Amino acid sequence: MLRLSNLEKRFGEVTAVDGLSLSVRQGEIFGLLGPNGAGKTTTVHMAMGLLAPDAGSVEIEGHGAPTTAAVRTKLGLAPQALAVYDGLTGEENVRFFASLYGLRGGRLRERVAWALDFVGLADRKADRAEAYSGGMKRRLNLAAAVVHDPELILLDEPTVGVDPQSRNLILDNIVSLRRDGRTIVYTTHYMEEAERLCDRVAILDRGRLLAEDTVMNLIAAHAGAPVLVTEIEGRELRVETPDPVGELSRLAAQGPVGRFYVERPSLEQVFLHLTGRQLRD
Amino acid sequence: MRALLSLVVKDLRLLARDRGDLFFVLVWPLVVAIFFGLVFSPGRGPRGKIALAVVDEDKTAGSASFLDALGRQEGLALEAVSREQAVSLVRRAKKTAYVVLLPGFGEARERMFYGEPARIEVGADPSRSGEMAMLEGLLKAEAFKGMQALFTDREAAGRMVGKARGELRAAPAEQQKTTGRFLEELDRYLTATRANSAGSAGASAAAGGWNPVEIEMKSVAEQRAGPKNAFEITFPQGILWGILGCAASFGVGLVVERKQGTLLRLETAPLSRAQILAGRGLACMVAILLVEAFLTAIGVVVFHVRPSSLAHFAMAGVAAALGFSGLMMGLSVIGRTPQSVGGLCWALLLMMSMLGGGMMPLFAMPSWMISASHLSPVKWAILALEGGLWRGFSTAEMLLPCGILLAVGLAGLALGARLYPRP
Repeated sequence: MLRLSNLEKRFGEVTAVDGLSLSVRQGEIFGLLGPNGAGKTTTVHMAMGLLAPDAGSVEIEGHGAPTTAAVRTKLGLAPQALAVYDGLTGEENVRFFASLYGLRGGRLRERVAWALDFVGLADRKADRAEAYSGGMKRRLNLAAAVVHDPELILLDEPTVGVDPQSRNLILDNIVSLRRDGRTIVYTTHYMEEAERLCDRVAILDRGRLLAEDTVMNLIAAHAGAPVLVTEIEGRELRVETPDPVGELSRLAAQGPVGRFYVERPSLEQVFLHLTGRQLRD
Repeated sequence: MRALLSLVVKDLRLLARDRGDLFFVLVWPLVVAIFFGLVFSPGRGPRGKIALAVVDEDKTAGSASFLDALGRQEGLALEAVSREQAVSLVRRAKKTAYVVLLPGFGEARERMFYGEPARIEVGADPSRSGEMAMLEGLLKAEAFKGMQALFTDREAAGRMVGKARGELRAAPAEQQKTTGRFLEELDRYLTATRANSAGSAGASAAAGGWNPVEIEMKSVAEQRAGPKNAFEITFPQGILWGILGCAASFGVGLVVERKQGTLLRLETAPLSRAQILAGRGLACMVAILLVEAFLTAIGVVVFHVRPSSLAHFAMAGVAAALGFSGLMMGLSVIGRTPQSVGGLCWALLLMMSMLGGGMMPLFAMPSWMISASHLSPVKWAILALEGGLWRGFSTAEMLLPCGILLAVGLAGLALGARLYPRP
């Protein structure tokens, strides 16, 4: 669906994206994971055609580069900033953005109603956005990105600064979009979100691609084995093992085992392994 | 085209919902126009009165009493002058109309139901049809009041009948016969009731086809060599403040859009950069035109501001809207934050206004400042508006200020397009 080939982008002396190549498949949620300044937003902007790469190319498969109006109607973006008009109501915001994509008449009314309902704002559609909470504005931001029914949706940190309720709603919305066959590129620095949502993940740091695979494969390849933590004769014992159940059976055969649990490796450890730094550093 | 319309509607809606912007776009300009209009109004009488120059060519007690009674009318403000002065005052729009009581006025007022009526000449600009209708009504009402007085004043009525019977001897035999019989009966009635002060009030009636007064309307074209009132100077200034308010509001709006991310969202839509810019410029222009129309309507309806040429005034309004919309595009790229753009925008616009006569009329400025004012688009906008309002500019004369405004607009647009901020 989206192919990025050897993308490069510099801002003065700073290299924001350095030789990035990625391929996002139709109907998947693809995570772009990395700390602040990793180049995620720059990559999204190049994928949307907002920034011209210094080198490399962007292609929306079957449509070409995202620089023409026809291709842009296939794309939807929820920017990291809350890109809505505070002075307009929720409905006016969504209607305005939908109208820019050529929607009108019954189709416009239908899509606006759908989008507001989709993000759970139908009952507050007549209120101005300035009266919305941060979470509601995030949801409105998402509604404005999907109202024109795009094939490829780029969500740039869509859950930053929202309450848990809105976050869950947004994550459920994204899963629902995938179910409907939409392709989603999801940038975040929340690993738990990436693990929960993404079919595949690309880890970026300082503009470079460090790894790209499914969450399970990345963890298996870079995060080491799970750790079995047990309490034997009042002492804590930590054993790294690819087979925690087998190891627990072995220990139990040797003597009584008190409490135990398994520490599952996460993307955080993957990032630590790949960069030597914590993701939130 | 629909996307462009959506952009314009969105911007106008946002403007209408921002109280701060609305204050600077509508309220403040109105305050400027009205406050300074009142301050600069020299010795204005109570508002709403028709200013009349009156000439008494009859110079009788009857004409004097008529003028005296007219002067007590609520809706009129009288000034007694010579005929030449009266015509000149109306021509220069210093008075709404002149009223001349023609010779024989007093004598005619003492007659009733026969003979020539009292004659009044009224002169005014044909455009003042509304005021003229009101004046005609007031003059006729006063004339009929005179008739009523004749009926209630038995002595005067008796004199009138006696005089009429005397004059009737010169009339044709048939008229002598019928009118004489009527007057004989009337005289008998008046003699019988003269001593009866408790008698009923006199009836007011007029014979069919006979008028107590004949009003002759004369057309006097106003020569608009200057403003008719102070508001014709202050309303263009007020309109300019409205225009500046729009330019500042929309100028800041672009950088606000960039900061809040909505500009980025517009850029991702299937719109060209030119469309986004055109939408903003068009919205600013429409807002300016609406503000101009609103302020002009207030000026015309409430403060008697009358464009000498509606076409030229409209031409000035459109040129100012185009010029300042373009200028707004240029101003919108002079900073990177809403605060910096807002501050610089107002600083530059205030300087332009100060220099260009937006704060103080150009005629009140020292000569060096008048020379410097040529650099300010505000000066050309005010000149263009005044050209259509009271300066009586020809189309050729309008071309200079309007052309300069268009050039300023194009320069601003070019600058704005060149330095248009990326998301």
